[in-house]
Amino acid sequence: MSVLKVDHLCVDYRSRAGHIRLVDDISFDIQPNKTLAIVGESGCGKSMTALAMMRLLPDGATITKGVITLEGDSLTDLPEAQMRDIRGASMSMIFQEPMTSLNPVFSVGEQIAEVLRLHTDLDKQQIREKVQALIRSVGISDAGQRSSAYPHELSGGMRQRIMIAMALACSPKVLIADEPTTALDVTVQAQIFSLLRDLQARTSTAIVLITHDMGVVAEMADDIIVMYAGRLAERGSVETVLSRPAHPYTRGLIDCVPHLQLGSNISHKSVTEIPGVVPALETIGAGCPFASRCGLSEERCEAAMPELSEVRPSHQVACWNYQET
Amino acid sequence: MAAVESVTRSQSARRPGADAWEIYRQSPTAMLGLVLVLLISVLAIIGPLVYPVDPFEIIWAPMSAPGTTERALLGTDYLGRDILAGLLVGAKATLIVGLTAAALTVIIGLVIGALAGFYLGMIDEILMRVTEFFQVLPPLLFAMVLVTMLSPSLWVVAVSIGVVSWPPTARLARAEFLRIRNLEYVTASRASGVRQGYIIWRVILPNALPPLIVSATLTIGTAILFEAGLSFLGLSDPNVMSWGLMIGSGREYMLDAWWIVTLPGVMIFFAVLGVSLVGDGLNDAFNPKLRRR
Amino acid sequence: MGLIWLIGKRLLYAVALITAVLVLNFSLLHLAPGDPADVIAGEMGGATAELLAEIRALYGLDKPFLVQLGLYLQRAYQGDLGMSFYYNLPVVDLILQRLPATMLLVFTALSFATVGGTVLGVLAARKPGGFTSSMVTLLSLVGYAAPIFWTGLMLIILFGVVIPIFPISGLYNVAKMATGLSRAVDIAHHLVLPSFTLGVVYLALYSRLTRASMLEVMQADYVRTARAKGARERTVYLRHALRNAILPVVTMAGLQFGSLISGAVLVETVFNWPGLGTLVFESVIARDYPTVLGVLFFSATLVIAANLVTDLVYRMIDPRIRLQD
Repeated sequence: MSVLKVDHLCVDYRSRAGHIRLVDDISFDIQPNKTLAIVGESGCGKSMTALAMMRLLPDGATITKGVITLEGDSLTDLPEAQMRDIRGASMSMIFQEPMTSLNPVFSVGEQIAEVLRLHTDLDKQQIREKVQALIRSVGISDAGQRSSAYPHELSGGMRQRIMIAMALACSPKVLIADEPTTALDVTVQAQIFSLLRDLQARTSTAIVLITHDMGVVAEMADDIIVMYAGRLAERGSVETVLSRPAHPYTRGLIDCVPHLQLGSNISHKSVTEIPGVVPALETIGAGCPFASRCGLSEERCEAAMPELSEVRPSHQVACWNYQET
Repeated sequence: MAAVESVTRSQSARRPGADAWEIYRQSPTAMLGLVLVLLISVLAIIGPLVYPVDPFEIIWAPMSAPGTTERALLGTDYLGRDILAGLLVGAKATLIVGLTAAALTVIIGLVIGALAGFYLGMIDEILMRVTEFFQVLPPLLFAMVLVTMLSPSLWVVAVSIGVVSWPPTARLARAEFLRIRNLEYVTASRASGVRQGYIIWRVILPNALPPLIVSATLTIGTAILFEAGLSFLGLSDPNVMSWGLMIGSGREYMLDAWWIVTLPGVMIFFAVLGVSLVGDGLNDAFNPKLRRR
Repeated sequence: MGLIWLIGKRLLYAVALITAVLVLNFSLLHLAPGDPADVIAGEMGGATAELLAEIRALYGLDKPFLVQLGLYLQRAYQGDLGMSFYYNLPVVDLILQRLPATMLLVFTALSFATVGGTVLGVLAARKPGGFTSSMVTLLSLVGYAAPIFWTGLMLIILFGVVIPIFPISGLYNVAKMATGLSRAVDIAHHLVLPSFTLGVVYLALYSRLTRASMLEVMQADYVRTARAKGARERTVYLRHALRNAILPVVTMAGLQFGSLISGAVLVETVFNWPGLGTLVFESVIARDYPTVLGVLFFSATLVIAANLVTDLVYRMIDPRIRLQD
């Protein structure tokens, strides 16, 4: 039974200069207590997909097609007032930049309390207790003192913990984490991920994890979707996709991760870059957007976009000449 | 030395004037400002030649409304002096004082800000304390005191306005010099052993110019307003016709003859408006990315 | 403890600035053309030899410059800024008589400008291309370009001749001899035009500043966080964005206090408002130098006090500043 279902989602951006499809026909669903990773380079539409789920798309960007359902209820046509009741309560989000995502002029305790005031009927005393419990639950000691601290007084890792406490305050069904550790030190990254895993084990929250790092995927996620230029490139369970990637782009992403082998240093040979950059969305034609960077590209790749096809049960890829591995 | 020059040049070539003009040209308000400024400058320069009437001479019945007599198209003031002649001759005084005062403001502010921002340390500390001290004195009040203590001549008025209005320019120049002095091409020219004076005025200054030019433009507007305020209070040279003086002296009669105070005010308004629109336009042209919304 | 230390430090600096203003005043008295005794006597022509001798003795003008300066400072710190020979009163008494009217005018104008400017700016920022936004742009151009004394005169023509609904001169109606509440109402009625004239310039400026600042802050990550919490748009605007957007306005208002007092001189002159502005105007015309310099000194002191207050207000709004100094 999936808690969140995204069905043929399209997001368009309209400006005076014209209109661009930022997210093109993306579908996935996610079960409670599971983690789905959305992977791709920057500009591939993964953040837009996340913001679309929260219905917090920036000005100019709108959902033009598709349905998003949370526990069977459609979010796409929900009135804004009801959507507000869902944000921060049943579905919450943490962001890439913990340094700037907290309001500098309010204490962190106050910022957590605000969520509780918005979505619960707790009285002042109960809120104060709950805030401190939340701060403790994200692994911060002396919660009483920390709750009156201002964001600038805390480290990046601490701030991200506060963001997590805020996101989990109302026990959401779904937590969307948009590159939650990109701005943090490697050691802090590991702490944040282990915290997310612990919290998930306790609350059964479904996590949508947006990342560009296959190492993180391997460590955190159950399922994965790979996006390229707003489209789905590959989808499947993490086990299958990481061990037997079918799309050349997925393979490229996996090869970007340095492999640590026992008894040797990082084997430099295995670290490769994908040549080129993500194409500007307005330049994409009828063909596969990855064709220009792909080693296996041939004529039909330039001519038409490949459909999503089944490699094996619950493993799909959109590539003309995917290789079974 | 040649290397430094080429570095400097390539830096200024980053924003060629042609591009800036291209952006400036596309803004209708900026063009309106330019037209206003040119129009008023032309009035000030050739107006009195084309219409050689002495603004102090009594030519018709006092307080004749505009359009009631051919002798004075825009009417006469409380003594029967020609308002149109006053406006044309007054343009010159207002603009000369405004420009001189603005130039002084920019020169004082630039020198102090440049030295503070370049040398930092003790020099910066002292210069910034001096700047803070000047910012504590209400500018118009301070200018009034200076003019009163000295003599009411155009030069004294211009110098006084300059003396009271430079602190914001100094702060801006200091911030720009602080920003630019640590950029690579400045470090490069230092490493090549160029004189400090050369670095300040030939390497850093050209790159600090765009925001300073914008601020200088706006300073002209402020200086015109100061000049008008001082002449309105009767503290400028009573023998030189200016818009502020016309308003100040005509004030008592304005309930009976609205045009005596209204028309010179309209001139000041358009002069300052023109200058500030030009300033905004230049600002947009120099920072296309930071275009105001 | 930190705050008290900080205030102490600022007060000390304020005293230094005040002393500097006094030194400037004294130097101006000496720089003015002619005999300082003549200058102090006010070039009233009728200054008798006895009067001049009296002044020389009183001000120690026969002593060396530095000794004179010492005496001058000593007297100033004891609250003696000399005698006004035009009004035949001690300068300090004269200023204290006129000070309340100026304070009333300046603070009414300042409140009008900051409150009105903020409201207009916030409304304008809601719709960047909308009507309010265009009005703010127009108002800020007109407000800057129209000389303040001329605006005042135009308002007098409008509300004194065309639609006579506001008094155009003075602080209260002398003929009414009103007392108590009706006197307060009378003063408020007289206050409308002068404070509007003075305030509208700054209102224009602050509304433009607030708009720009709001538009910038609305792009901030913490605004997105507030939305992701499920906060209403109104809360996002007024609680999360405005509190941050107001900071540059506070800075600007503090910086411009001197210019506000300058404006008050012109506005008081236009409306015959019996404050420091008319006092300084009258004494300038009468060449009553001790009074002129006394007003300069008092105004500078007001600016210094305003800067202190701004500093404290800023610290109250922005917790990030509290750590510094």
